[in-house]
Amino acid sequence: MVAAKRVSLRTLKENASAYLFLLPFLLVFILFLLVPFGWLLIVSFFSGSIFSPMQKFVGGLNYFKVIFEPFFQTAMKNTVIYAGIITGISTPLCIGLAVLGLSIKRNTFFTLALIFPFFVPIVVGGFMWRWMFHYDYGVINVILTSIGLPRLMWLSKDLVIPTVAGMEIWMSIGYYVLVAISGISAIPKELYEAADVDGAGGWRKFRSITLPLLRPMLTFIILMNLIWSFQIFDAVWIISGGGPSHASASLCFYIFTKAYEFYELEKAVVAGFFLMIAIFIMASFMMRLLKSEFEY
Amino acid sequence: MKYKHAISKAVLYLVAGFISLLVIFPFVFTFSAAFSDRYIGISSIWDLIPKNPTVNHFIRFATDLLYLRWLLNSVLVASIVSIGKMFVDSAAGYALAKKRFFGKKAIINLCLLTLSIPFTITFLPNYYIVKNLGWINTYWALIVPLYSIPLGVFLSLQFIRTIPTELIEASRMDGCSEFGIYWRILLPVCAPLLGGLGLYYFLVSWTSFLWPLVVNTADKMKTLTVGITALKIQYSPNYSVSAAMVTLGFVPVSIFFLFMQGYFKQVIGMGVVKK
Repeated sequence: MVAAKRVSLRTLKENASAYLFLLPFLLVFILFLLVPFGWLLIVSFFSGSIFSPMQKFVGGLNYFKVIFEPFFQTAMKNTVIYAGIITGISTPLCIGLAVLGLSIKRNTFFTLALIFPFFVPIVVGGFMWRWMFHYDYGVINVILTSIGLPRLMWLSKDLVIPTVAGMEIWMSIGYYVLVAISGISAIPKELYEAADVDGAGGWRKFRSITLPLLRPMLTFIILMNLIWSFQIFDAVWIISGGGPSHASASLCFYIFTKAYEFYELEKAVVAGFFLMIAIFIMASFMMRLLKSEFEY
Repeated sequence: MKYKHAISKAVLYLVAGFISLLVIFPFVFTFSAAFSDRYIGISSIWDLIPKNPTVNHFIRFATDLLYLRWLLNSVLVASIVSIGKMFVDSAAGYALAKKRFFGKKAIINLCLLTLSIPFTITFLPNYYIVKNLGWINTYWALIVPLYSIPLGVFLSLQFIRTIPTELIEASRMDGCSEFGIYWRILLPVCAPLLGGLGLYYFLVSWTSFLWPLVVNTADKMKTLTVGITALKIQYSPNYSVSAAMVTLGFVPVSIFFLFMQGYFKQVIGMGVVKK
């Protein structure tokens, strides 16, 4: 009897102290994330505008409206293309750069230079790139003509997506290179020494030791790339403004313009939920990956 | 053989150097434009060296009180967010990792679920909340909502889980208070975690654009990113002025960056590689 009472008192105490530690986070988390989220969930089933949401209950109608809207379809298609280009280029590139960085002794300048764009606000980065992409005065076209190539309209309909994706890769590549460097340097040196004894060449060592052992890290890099590039917004907003005529609009761009330019809040919210589900699926893969322990 | 080795080494250094220059080229370009009197475009690569170098554009902003105020706002907000979040997140992570209490699973799952909410949609309800709290055009609006980001709590949970429970039990036996355990035992062990969290939140706050653009419209309360964008339009005829403004804007972050560089390699692989 006494023992049981003591136990319950102890659990009560532990509960109280746990919640005291959690309190500062929970307060803000509830106020600025859970409450807004719940509100949005309700709003998605009503029709209305940004000024007076929730005028009439319409059930799942908003969800159908969004799926069949051409602007949404373009934005969705573009987002998948962005994610494809960014992930497809960034992943092999960061592995290559990490191998290069590790094969030279003094690589501090190299890694610092690569990660620097990651620390610069995209407003600043985008500002610089806009000038560099300028058709007449932009430094990129000047370099192209000086080596005998034609000028390119970097922000035209056909080129705008690769251009924006290129800037996005420039901004984020350093992060992935550092991830890859820390992953590669965690591989035990003995494996390479053993391979040297067996007379394996550089490419053979890379293919038979580095690549298989890096698989969990590669999965991490690919998933992070996908999750981030699905949310691409700032780069689109600043470099191309979604244009010309939605040619570079991404899903987040759709959400933002629907809410703040067309005032169709419920459509923005519904698209936001589609995006969230896509990210959630990718994120849960990543969580499973992070939980599993990597052994070499 | 040795000769060949030296050549391949030199080639590697050259390639690495070339790539580094390529990546920082936009900064070099902006930097050079900022020093020229009036930028009118370049016709060959040698025009990157300014003909009549001047520091007038820099002086103009370095003595502009409003510009300095934006810089101060950005640095202040990013510092408060990153330092505060280190403690808030590690405390929450400690409770979630090492304590048994009612509702723990639910809180962890909620954190995981909300990790994937895009900021673009919580933006609007958050604006109403901040407005009703009377926080428009205050530092509160820039700081407090960022504390709701659950990523750091999740990372802390992952990190603190790997710390042996015996360490905590032993100090409890020695009569250490709950807060003492957190403050004196746990925090020193969590140094790499705290560094990572600080770095992450500093970046989130420093680079944020849309949220400060919407909540703080008074000139004095703008952050650097918002201020620069507003001024850019005003000065757009002369690129050199804008370039100087942008260059000055990334100087503070460069200093911070050089200061923190020791942390990068330690922190960035966190959660990816188990050492």
